[in-house]
Amino acid sequence: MTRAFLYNSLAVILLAATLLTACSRQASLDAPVRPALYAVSDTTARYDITFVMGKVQQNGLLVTRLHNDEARLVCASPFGLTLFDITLRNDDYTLNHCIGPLRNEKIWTVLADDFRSIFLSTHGSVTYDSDGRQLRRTGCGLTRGTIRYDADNHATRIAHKWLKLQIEITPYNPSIHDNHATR
Amino acid sequence: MTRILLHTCLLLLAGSMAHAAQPLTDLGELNRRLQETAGKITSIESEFVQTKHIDIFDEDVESRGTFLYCNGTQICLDYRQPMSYRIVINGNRLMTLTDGHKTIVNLGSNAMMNEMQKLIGVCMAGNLQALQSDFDLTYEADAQHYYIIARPHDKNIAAYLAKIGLTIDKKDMSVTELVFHENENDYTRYRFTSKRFNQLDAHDPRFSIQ
Repeated sequence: MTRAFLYNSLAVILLAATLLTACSRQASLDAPVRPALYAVSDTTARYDITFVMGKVQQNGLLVTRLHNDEARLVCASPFGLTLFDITLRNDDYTLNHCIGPLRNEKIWTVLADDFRSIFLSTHGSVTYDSDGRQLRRTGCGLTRGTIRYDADNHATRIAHKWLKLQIEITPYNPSIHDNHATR
Repeated sequence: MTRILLHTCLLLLAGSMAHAAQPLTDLGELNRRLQETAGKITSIESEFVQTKHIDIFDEDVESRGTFLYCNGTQICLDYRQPMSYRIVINGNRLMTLTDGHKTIVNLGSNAMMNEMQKLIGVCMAGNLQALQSDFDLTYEADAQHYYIIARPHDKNIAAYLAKIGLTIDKKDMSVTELVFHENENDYTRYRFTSKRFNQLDAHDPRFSIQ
């Protein structure tokens, strides 16, 4: 009985240690500063954004601006409905507005980290995948994911395999859209 | 010189006041004309300009396209700019189409989208009676337009919509402007032009969801 208890306790401790190690992806402050992929400035910048969650795809636009030294990100559907409005800081975030289906704190912890990696300078190393795209890792455990930046078309793709979530962000390019519009 | 300036200012002020909207106390004529129109209009096709205004950003986002409405249950927003994008609501289903990728959802399972569909349909048709159950309405008018402000008293609607502004052209009683205010500062405005009434077929392929 005592031996079984000891084995069980050991197993629990090992599992906890494994999980904690897996989740300690947060880069230390000693790590080099990694510049933002799309730095937020005090003028409005606009991006096209596509969310794919399972089989559902949602397109929209994302606008960003540095406001009172904080990054403000607002995402709206093409027909104007604001999907979310978030204020992003180096160490935390404030969700100003969010539609019902997206109101989930765990999801927002993941998304805030992703957006912070893209729009703010963060600590961490810059690596490249086999296709030469800049690669950043995000999340941990079930929420771990990758952020890949393709310098050729300036597109950034976030992928969370276990969440079945993909997000693609591309700076808005009026000339591309004009060509689409006249097709 | 000062007197001339003062007179000019007073004249300008009087002129602007003459065109300013005044609260509408007698709703009899408005309701009569809306009822007449509601019976006559079965479909609308028009061009629209959508402006998304977010207060903290220094520029608005503008989109353009064609709006289609038929029989109160079929709505299509066919965007051309800045990108090709189509939203179709037909009965209780909603489809979005972009770059050949379709997403179809059942509105019955999405209370917010269901409400949006109802609102767009009701607002475009100027069906104020349908709005009265969930909104408090205030009315104003000037020589050319009726202005209706609808504020939700339902908490679920108020969570994403502070008020709706509806501008109706007195000439043909059609909606010329529709503004969804998400809060006191941010809004999405639709301006409708080149309106064509009762020329759409319910089987128009642009309403098709499959």
